[in-house]
Amino acid sequence: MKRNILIVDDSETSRMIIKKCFSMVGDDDSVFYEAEDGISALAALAKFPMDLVVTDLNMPRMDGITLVRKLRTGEKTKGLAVIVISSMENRQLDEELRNLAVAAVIRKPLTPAKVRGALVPEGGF
Amino acid sequence: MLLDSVAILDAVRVTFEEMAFLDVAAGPSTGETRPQEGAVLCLTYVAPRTGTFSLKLPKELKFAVAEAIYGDDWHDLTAGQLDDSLLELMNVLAGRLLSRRFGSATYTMGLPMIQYNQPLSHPQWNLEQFSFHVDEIGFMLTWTEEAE
Repeated sequence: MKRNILIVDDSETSRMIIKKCFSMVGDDDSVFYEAEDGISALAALAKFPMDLVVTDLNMPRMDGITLVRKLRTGEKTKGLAVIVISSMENRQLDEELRNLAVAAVIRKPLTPAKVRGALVPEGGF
Repeated sequence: MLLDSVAILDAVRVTFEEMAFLDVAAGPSTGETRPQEGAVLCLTYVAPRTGTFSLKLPKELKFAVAEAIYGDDWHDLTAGQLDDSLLELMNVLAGRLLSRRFGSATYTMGLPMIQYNQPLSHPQWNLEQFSFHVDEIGFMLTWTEEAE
């Protein structure tokens, strides 16, 4: 499957792991774009059409939750598929993400199995 | 006690195993370690209480973690990649520890940093230290938190 995927994480290591995991579960033909925070992600989204945004939550300048809120209010981005990847585990946050129509939340560290689980409907929330 | 030692060992063990395929055991190493030549990582959280994690890793472990994460010899990695892989490890470990510490309560976690200064602390804060080792390479986690 070939699609445009935007990876948003302030850690270069984490972006590399996300890219590897998605490539291993079927996105080896996809084009990966990278941004290191929400502000850079919005700039990338204004330039390139994306099929999926995979974002961390805890980032400088603009965090992931603010990014997702902004995506949901943007005319072009309100229906964009979003997967959140985070080391934080929090019921309240999960509920907010669910209300923002996030396709899945994956806990770090990321593994191909966790990504595969999130990509099938019963693995997400 | 901030968290029981079994839960802390489990969080450390699972994080190192999942991220770097390293087998962690509790207790100090019997071998010689020189943490001053490695890295000291810290992460501060500010809610529902304020506290800091500080992780001291000797250079052997620093390189082993980076090599496992990147799948390359550490000589082929940039200094930025070496540091960043450790920061990501600290980030994941802190998230895991805080989830266990605060359960379903909302917590606010800062960003992981290489520690150059003394971490945020206070004489009245709770301070706990935990020693671990991977084979004969020892490392230490220090956890401080404001008293209740």
